[in-house]
Amino acid sequence: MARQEVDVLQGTLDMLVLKTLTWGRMHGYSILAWLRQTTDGELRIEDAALYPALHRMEARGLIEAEWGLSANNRKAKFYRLTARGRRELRAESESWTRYVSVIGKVMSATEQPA
Amino acid sequence: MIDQWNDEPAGGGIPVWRRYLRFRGRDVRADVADELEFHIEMIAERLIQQGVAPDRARAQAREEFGDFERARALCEGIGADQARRHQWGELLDSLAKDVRFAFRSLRRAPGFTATIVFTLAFGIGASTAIFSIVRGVLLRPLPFVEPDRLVRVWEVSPRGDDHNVVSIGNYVSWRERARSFSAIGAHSAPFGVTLVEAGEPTRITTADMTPSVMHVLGGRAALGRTFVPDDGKGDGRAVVLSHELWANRFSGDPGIVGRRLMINDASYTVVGVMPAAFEFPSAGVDIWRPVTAHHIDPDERRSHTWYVVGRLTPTANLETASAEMHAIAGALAREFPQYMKGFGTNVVSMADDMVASVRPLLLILLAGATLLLVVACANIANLLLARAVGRRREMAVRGALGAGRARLVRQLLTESVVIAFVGGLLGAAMAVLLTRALTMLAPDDIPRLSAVWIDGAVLGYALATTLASGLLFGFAPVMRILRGGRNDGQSLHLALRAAGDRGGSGRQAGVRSILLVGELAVSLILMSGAGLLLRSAHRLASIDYGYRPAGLVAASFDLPRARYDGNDRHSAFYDQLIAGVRELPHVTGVAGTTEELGSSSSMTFSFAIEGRPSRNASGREDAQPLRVVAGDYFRVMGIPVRRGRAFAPTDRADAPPVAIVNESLARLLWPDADPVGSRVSFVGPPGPWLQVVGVVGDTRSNAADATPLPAMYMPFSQKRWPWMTWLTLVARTDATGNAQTLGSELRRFVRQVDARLPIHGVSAVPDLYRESVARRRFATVLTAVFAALALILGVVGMYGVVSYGVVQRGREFGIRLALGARASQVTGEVVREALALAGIALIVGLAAALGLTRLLSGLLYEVSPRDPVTFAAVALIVAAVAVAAAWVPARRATRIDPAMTLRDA
Repeated sequence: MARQEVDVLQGTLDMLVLKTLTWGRMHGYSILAWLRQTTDGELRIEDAALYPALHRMEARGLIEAEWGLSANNRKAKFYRLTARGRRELRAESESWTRYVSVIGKVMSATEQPA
Repeated sequence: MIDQWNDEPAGGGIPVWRRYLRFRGRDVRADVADELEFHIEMIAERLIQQGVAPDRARAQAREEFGDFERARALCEGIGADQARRHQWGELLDSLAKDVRFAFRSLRRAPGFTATIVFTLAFGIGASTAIFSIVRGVLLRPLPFVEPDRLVRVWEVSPRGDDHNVVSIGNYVSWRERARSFSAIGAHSAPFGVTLVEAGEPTRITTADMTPSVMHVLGGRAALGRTFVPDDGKGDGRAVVLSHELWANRFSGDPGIVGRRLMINDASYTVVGVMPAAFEFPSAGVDIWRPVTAHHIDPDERRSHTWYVVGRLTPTANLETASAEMHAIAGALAREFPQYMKGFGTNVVSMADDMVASVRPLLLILLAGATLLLVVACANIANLLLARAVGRRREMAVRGALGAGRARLVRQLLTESVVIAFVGGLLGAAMAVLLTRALTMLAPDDIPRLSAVWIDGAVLGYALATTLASGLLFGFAPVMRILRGGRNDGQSLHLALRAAGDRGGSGRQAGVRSILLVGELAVSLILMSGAGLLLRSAHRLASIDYGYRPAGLVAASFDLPRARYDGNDRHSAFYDQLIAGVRELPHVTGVAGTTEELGSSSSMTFSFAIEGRPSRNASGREDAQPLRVVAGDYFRVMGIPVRRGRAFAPTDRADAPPVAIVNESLARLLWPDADPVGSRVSFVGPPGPWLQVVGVVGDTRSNAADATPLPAMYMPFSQKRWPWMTWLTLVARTDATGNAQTLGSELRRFVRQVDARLPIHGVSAVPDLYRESVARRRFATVLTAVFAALALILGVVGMYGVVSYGVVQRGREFGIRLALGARASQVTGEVVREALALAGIALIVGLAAALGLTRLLSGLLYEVSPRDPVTFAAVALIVAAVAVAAAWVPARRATRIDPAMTLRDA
């Protein structure tokens, strides 16, 4: 585990959570678990920071929550993507892809200024 | 591994108890704590699996989790916000449901709804329209800079007139001595001058002012400039145009500044154009000209012709300014006792001064419209109550199905407010139209009508009256529910049975009767007011003017002194004019007078009587109205000659000067003697004695409702004042002549004599008096309309209450008729009961009306505000109408089929 971790960029946590929830209904712990697994543990997300983000998105109607029982039979709060959240995710991921490609063009430029 | 993060709830569902709690708005704090706790437990479990000792796992999990308290606080904040929003949403949702429900239930009864909506629309429309006028005329600030610092300063005459016009000498003294004003100015009353533009003469209105007046008002020109002090120094040939004149006469020419205009045959330079809102001293002034220094004679204290405006300094107020002016007046009275003895001053806020005369009129109209609205509300409350009876079953069922009392009350109130809003919306639309109509109908002498428009305050007033009315008439049916609700223990069975009974409780009939009595009483107040005003209008219409205005046509002229200089040339022109007009078709006689018919202003002169001291007992010269007349004036006007003779063509300039007095003046100055043969002389530069040759009848030529003024007449041909250049021609026409055709013939004729001379004020003489009674007529027409509407509402109310009573007692009547009662007995009983209600209303209404009509006294002409004839007539009308409104449903009672009513039971 000596790999260097990367901080989540400001504002991208929401997008990552939305993306995670496309797989289905999840509680906060499992959202983090999937994110960590998918990034091979290279992404650093503080557990405590996840919940305000979830609640904010719930208030905005991007996700909705229900109480239920977890696999180990405990009551847990499950989140699910709403139609609005799906639209938001599509818009965010498009603009993210464009951003990355534009920045990439600059960073990988080989030609000297004329 | 997958199922560790894709953690589907076991059992595929959420326990009902959880869901329920959530939607009941479970404690946000507990929710957040549960959720975060779960997360920490999951970490702890993982740590234990990874080999951490169970007793240390929890502490480590908390550490790994991060700032627990901060996360909790943030989540709770978001949760609380959301809960609040949720609550509001729920409230709005149920409100929307109520409103939809109200609309549905109102649509089910279209006739009922339409009646209420229109009744209310009339009430709100009328009161809002009147309010918009009150707002514009009485409440809107004047369109000047810091208008609350503007004041008018008047002289108070020894006779006690506190709006005495100011002498220029006094103005100069005030300007030099007073410290209360940062600026002070004097201006003339508006008067007519002739503008010749492109060869076409027109009569326009000017107000001449010291340049400082513009400074006092803080008026900014829309184009060019206003006056500067230098305008008062040179020849004063600068002119500022009104927006209206500039737009209409000069097509809004942007290059107007610097142009030269011919006004009264003198050349003036346009220096500026005022904005449209600038009206001073009253609406309809076309130009303003500076008064130059050589027109201001600081020693002139006899002729009172100027109006003074001032701007208070920031440290002064009305009281300090009044005190200072009082002291100055005292000093002037000591310094110039021969002129200023007994004179005081009066400092008034300019806004108050402008509208003081119309305030009572407008407030009376506003009160009338408000009373009408109250009647409308009472009527609507009665209608709603009647409907509530029909809805008892509906309410009982809804109550039985679990709707709480609060819910039912809210629904009823929502219905009332929805009705009120539909009515209010219609009323506001009506108010827009009514306001436009009213400003057109309103008498021209109401100041500031141009400031009347529908603005936020007016709409706010409409909204406030709408809400107030909705709650007012919505209250009645709600009281019913609340009262009925006391027997909550009653079963649905009982409620339904009661509902099947179609009738209402006795107490409710009582409420309806009280509402009806109130409604009739208020209608009676309005009708009394209207009755008094109508009677006064009738008195005015049948007034004896002392001459015959019918068939007379007036047209006014004013000769420019540049081209017509000297009394002889004036006489020659007017003689020629009179001779020419006499030849026009339909004209049977022509004469002229300097008197302004139908106007309260008059030209007065001081004169002495031969053989008497020049001052009368009070030490004052007699100043009386003088009317200078031309042609066969008394015969043309129809003024009878009581003694001596009328003027004759032989009373020429070179003949011995003559005068004629009217009966009032004869009584005043020759109480015990015949004035014919006496001689009088005007005070001032020594002049000849005028021999009084006749006495003529009095005339009400100023205003129909004014007592006749004493007056002296002299022939125009013998006048001695070259500045007296104007004359109003009066032509008597035969039955087919009218002002319009005569006017155009006059114009054609005058153009041949002098193409540059305008004619103004062409009108039938009776129309001139219409202006003087316009305010009264305005009040009369509006009050009559309000009263008629209130009476109609009262009839509807009476009809409703009696019908309701008849239905309620249907079974009783049916049984009595079956047992042999005569139809007339039943009818009589119903009508008697209605009359009893009307009787109470009459007593209450008459008592209130007798107290309130006193407010009308300023608008009444020779009618006492407690005129017994009017009150008797109004009471009779209300009683008759009440009986008629009761008779129709009473007749229905006799047609009740006893078998039917018994079966229904």
